[in-house]
Amino acid sequence: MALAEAVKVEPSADLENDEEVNFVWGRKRGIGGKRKEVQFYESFTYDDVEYALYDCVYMHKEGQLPYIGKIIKIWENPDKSRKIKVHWFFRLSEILYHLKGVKVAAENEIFLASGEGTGLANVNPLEAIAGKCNVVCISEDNRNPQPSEEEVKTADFVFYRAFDVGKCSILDKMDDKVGGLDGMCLSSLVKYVFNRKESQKASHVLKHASDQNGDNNAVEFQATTKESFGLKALNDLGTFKASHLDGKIDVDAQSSLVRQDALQRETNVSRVNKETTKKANSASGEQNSHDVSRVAKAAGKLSHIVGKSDVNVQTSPVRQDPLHGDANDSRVKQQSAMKGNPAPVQIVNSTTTTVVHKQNTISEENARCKTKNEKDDKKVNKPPINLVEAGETGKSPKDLGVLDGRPSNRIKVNDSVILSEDKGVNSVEKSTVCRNEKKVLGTSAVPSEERKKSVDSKDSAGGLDKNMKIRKDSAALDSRPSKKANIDARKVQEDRDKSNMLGKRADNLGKLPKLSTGTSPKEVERTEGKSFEVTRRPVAESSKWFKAPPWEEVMQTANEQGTLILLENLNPEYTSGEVEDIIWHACRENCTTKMVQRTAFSSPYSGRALVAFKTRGVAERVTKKLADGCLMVSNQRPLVASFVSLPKTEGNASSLAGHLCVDKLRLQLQREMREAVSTSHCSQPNTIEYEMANEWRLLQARSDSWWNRLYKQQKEDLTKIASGL
Amino acid sequence: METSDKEYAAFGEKVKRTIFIDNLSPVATEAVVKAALDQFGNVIQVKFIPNYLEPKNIGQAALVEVENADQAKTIITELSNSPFMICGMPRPVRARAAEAEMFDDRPRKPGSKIVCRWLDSSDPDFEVANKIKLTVRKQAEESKFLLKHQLEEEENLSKKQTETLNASYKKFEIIESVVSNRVATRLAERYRVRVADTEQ
Repeated sequence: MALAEAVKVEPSADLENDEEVNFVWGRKRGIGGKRKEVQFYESFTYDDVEYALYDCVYMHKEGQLPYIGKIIKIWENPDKSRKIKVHWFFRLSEILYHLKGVKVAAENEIFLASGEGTGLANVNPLEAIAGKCNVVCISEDNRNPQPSEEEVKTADFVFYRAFDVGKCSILDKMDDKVGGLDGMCLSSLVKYVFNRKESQKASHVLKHASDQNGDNNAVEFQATTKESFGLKALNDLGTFKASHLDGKIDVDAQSSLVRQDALQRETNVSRVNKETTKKANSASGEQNSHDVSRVAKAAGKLSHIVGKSDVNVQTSPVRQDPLHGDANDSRVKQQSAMKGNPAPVQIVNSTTTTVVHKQNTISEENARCKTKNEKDDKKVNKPPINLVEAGETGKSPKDLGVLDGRPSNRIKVNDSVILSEDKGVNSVEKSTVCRNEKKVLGTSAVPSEERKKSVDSKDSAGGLDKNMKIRKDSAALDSRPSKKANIDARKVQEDRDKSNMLGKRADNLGKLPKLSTGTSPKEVERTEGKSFEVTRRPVAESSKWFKAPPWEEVMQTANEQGTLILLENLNPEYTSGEVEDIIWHACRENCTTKMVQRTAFSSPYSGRALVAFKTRGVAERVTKKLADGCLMVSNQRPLVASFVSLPKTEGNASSLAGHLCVDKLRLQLQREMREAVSTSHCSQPNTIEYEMANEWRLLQARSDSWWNRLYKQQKEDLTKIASGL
Repeated sequence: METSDKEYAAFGEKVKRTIFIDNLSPVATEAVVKAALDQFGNVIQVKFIPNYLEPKNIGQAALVEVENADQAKTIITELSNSPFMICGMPRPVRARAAEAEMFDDRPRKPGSKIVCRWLDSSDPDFEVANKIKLTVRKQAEESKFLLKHQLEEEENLSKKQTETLNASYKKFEIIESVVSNRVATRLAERYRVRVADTEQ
């Protein structure tokens, strides 16, 4: 008994403190209750933030993203406890299952609870409020003052639809009876659901811009986190609303600062959120970061990487409004791509962001992302510099090799180009020099020893000669297309004879129509700097009946002989045949090509192809040509060519990481496996397997997000450079 | 071979009703995948995507063509909602909509024109082009690194789960043995605690 009393005493003691420190009642509204003991209010100030009736707020939820609700009643009981009645909004992630096939207006769309049943509204202690939330109603109902574009953009959330808690369905129209709340009439709807008139809201928006921006970041990211836990949310849906009961939320919990114990990922989120929303207004950035860093330290390594990754994304500072729009855009894009990130260590300002970095172990990928994002980050804080250094040292062994090669590459290229101006006098010498230097390039697949062998130098020189000669000739013969055609035709003939033995008829090539040499004049002049169109290359008559070996064989032979080339920076839409045509037109060589098929982690804009030539000499010649000069395909993409050797297969992997087997049952299982045709099934919840499966899905989703971000960044880099063309 | 618009459109249809599945075990065969997905719809064809350049332990990927686009969509949503396992657990397979570039026998885009030109050092774009080339190379390295990292993560998770699994199994073994040799019931009598006895 004494214990219970003691417990009871404490909250009120705290309340008193609060009253002195950061709580002030606003306008009174009326008296109510059985014995007229309850005082209703219209507004109050809590923690230096003013809340009024019908404001939207975040509500603390242990271990989860905060709930969003609208205050519809405020009162104080005779025992001095302060309560609010909150009408709930549903986040996307909370009703994911019921959103199947439903078009979502925006990433940050929420749904007003309506209908009858649990989950519509609840009474909560006032102290459960976690902060103000800027929710804009974008309903096109003519009773709703339409928000400006700016408002919609800066809003934390938007809504225009309702979710019926009884029927679990989406309602498009704003009923007059939303929520069946006490005597809801039209005017209440206007006051309550729709946007309030500007004068009322403006002050709020301005005053708490920074606060809300912080919440915005925090919440948006959490929204995606929640989506990833959509599965879990499904299970929780039934239970979570039940916990919105009076007094469940620990007063102490809210008013206390960050907990120090090791936390799960979700709790990280809520803690940090509490932290930030409480402190957001106070400009005590130091304290913020300090506390947050404690939180971050407690998180596991896995979340570090992701947490940092997410934080990286957020480094665009929040305070500066001009940037805010950009930050939002990039985040929105990434959110649509990201399926789930646990423990996005949510931080309001970039100082806290970077301090988190400092505390965590640094992973290379992250460092790289960080340095990349640094370009966007206007606020350069001290900690990022540490990261950059660490990141760079991490990177250096890998990149330095490549970097070193670059300057020499430049020089070499210049040399060889000058070379072509000569009548090929020194071609032989230069080509060997070039070849030696090429090994510095440091492409991992290049076996430098092989390069040293100046195989067929004469051949290549000859090839160079021919090319130059043709160029020279054609330059002179600019106005004589017929003669050019002859030259081309002659070269075609020669090459065709040479390459007659090439089993280049891959299956898809067999369907190529025979082109006579008469079509080659279609080509535009192939001089230096002039462009030519790549059409179907001429097909040798004699090879029509020659059945080509399957690609696998060709590839393996080429791999053994060292005639396998990897082409990069192709348009991924090209087919193998088109690539062969390109090689034909550009270098007059026949080859067999296979475009590498796209998989879950292929670059979406840089296509790759494996090219197999017949002889080493041809391969080297082509590679050299592509490396020295620049073959611009479709005016934007210089081809990158390099020798490649396929990774050795260390025996076939017998199982995939993640396919577990209990050791003791292993023997048994193997016997069964051999007999079973397929052991596929859907996992059921409430099993260990299910939980583990979810862990894998999480990892899969995270991997997806890494790849998306990497490629996005790479694409930006490339477009930036390409814009210089 | 110029692909007609009709052919290309037909190919587009095919893409729409094909699913890209990865995280498949290396021991999975076409038959296995087909049998697994036949529960959801009519599987027309299963083709694995060969992996030439990447390390071998990333799991297989396959293109599964089903009867129509709706079935494909259903399968993808189902597989996204609840973990589906083929040939091993608990790592679930992952399904997503297929894209044209995943097919190796895709027809050329009708009307696509490829224009090439050689650049020499005197060309103003030469520098930029070189820079692009180098960046492409660098990015390829980055991708490789990320893949390695991903694989490491997967290995770690796998190890962690194996430990958990073995521990759980031991626990269950103990419980089972205790129940089966009636120690549990005797203890229950001793402590006057009720034990749910499923055997009786």
